[in-house]
Amino acid sequence: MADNSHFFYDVRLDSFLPDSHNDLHGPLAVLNFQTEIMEQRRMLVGGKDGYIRGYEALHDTDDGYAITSYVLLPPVRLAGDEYHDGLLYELIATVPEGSGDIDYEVRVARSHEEVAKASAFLSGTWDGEGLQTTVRPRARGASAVVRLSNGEGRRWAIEQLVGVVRPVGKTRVA
Amino acid sequence: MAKKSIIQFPFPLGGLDRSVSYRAQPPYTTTDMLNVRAYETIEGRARGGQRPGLVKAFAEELGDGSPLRMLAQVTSVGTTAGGYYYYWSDEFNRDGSDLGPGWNDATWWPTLLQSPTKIVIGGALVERQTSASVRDQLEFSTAYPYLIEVRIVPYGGQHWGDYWIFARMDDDDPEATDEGIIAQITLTGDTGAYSGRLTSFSGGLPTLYAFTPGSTGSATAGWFKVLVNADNIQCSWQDQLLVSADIAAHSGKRIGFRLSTIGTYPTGLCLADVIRVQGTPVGGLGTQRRRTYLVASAGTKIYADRTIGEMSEISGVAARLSDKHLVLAAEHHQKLYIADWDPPRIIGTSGTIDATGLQLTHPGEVTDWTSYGIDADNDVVVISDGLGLVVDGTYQIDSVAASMVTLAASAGGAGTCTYRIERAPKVYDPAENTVSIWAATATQGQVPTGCHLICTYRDRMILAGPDDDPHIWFASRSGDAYDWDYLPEDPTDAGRAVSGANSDAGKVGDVITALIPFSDDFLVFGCKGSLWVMRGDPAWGGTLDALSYDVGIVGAKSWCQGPSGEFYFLSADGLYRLPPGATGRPEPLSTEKLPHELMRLNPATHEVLLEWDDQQKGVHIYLAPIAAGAVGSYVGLGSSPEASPSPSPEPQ
Repeated sequence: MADNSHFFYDVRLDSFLPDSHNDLHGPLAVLNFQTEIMEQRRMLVGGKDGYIRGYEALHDTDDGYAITSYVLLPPVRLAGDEYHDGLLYELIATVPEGSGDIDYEVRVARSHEEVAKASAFLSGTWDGEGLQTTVRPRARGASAVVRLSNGEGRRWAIEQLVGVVRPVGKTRVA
Repeated sequence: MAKKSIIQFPFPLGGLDRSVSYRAQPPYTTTDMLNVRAYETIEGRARGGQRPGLVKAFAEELGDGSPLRMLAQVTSVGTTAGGYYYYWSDEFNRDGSDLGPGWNDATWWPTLLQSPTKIVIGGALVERQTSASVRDQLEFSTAYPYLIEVRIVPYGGQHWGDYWIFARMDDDDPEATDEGIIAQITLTGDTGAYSGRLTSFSGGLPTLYAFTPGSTGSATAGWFKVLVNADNIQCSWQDQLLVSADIAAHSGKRIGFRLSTIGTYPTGLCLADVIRVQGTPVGGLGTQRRRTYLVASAGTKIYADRTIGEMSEISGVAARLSDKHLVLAAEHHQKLYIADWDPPRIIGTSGTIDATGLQLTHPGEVTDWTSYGIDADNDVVVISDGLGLVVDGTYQIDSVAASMVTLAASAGGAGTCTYRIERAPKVYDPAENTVSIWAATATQGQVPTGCHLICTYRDRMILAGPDDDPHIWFASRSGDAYDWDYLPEDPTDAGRAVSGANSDAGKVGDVITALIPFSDDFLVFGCKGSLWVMRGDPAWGGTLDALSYDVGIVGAKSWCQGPSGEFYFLSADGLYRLPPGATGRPEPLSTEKLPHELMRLNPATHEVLLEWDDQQKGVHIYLAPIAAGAVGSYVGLGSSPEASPSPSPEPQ
């Protein structure tokens, strides 16, 4: 069954974040339940399947359904300008304690638009906590992005991701 | 050769932005993301990660699996011994590995069986070397049933071991293996398979009662419960009864719990994040008199959490709610008033009332009244334009036969009338746990029917949005939800009922799609393409002013209130914020970032719902598709298959 598309508006950061829910989870009714019982005090969503649910930070799944989570990190110019290509030598990730595995994809292309739609130049999984083994893509392009996604059925987070780059020449047509 | 340099790949804390060219992508934004949050769920830091997961807040399936159509709340204050309740819970919301004051290690538990585990303390996983703990004595009464619950949480999509609840232990010397009970459930893997047993100890001698094993299909979070009712013990997991046993008596009431992974620690972890007890205070009286109930509807049935954490059907009542669309409700004076509606069953302009005033017929037009689906427990007859001895009004139904509809009270006497038979609004009384038709006090007018919208404002019930007159609003007498007499003996009575048709404020100049009250200060009328605000009391100098002629609100619940008194709402061209006090113009939030998303959403095809989330500090904008044909109508915006040309109840 297809997922439903929703949005979350984070007031603290004035940001819109797209979400998806299993169609069974709807919701078709919502309530910010304000009860004197603190552990029950939260936003509730009523599903198409007759269940009332709520969000819990601890939970890795949507009531047993895997959450497909990913983010395309903002694109970077590998040479620092829009005229030259750069070479992405290394990627060094730091994964917080308690995070699940993170799948990554490195994409490079000649422009920010191309790179947003490019296929992966290199992919892998960070499956530990703390500083990860350095990834050495040696990928050439004008623009690069890194796509992160959940590598297993667990919630994940990212502390830091840095790259080592060097300009290598003019951007070429093909 | 150019030098190497270090670059950052930051998480896009600014979220999705598709407003400008790719090359000019604003910093800290992205063109694509899904199910992530800037504030991650592990430590709550703004560094990026997966969003929180959804989990059943209640194990019960409502309406036999039908869609939820109403979620509302109502607060009641107990006034008798039976109205008091005892409730204690611990969410382990503190730092460190210590469970905190009130908890003691179960030193009687065999050392060899002690195993390290982790529980969630202060939102983080914390290791504990002692896995069995006992709570200081709690002040619930054993003369009444009491319920002990532990919420079990999967780790990595699986369960990993044994979860135990200790109860009925001696008050001075709490050792469950001497006197008391131990309920043990075993959950492993990702299939949701469970098994376990209840053991009752008397003088150190155990008596075992095996659980009925089963499976929930997947490893999901849920409540492991032990209900103690005198000497009967019922254990359940996710609403499945595991065992019901009559056991030997115990004198104590100390409780405790234990978690134990099976051979997998630390790869696998047994997690629990809440333990709670509910029952009745010692002596039947206590200080916790106020109780807020969650009320829900699905599949026409109505439910409330009469026991904390459990939704149960309100039984013994014939009243039902529509299951075709979202149903709104508002609380007032410890009752929940429900704007239950559906398109009318039948409308007629030349009905006949007999000499008793009780029998409605429509000669030549209606040959079989039972063919219209009229429900005597849920519908009312709205009579207008009465001639002869017929008195206009809203009448409950006694019975329906092929030849006539018999009213529950006389409509005066013989004559003719215009009539409409439709679903009536309802009222839930938590003190009595009953649902009934919301009917006005005799001679005090009639509760408007067919209204989609409801709220409380200045101690009045406000109803609005009937299909046949979507510009009008109705307000009950101040402080009395059962007085809808718009023309009382004293016309200067400032507390009188009033409507848009007979007030100084007047009707709203657009189709009303949402009612948004804020305290006693103002009431915003969200309309199809405009916003209006009523300031002050509608019967005492209140004014109705336009806030915007350009921006409206998509649907009845396409809005929510933020923590500072601001409102968020979805208009036909995106998300807007209305400042606290409704003093300024609506501020667009999404149009500059998402030029295509959140635009021109059709509430006939999507249930467009907004709600504020205290924990995530933001607004959820839900756009759930609605099954074709599932919705009756939404005022002016969606399909309106049975919109009636007939007038709504006229103010008296």
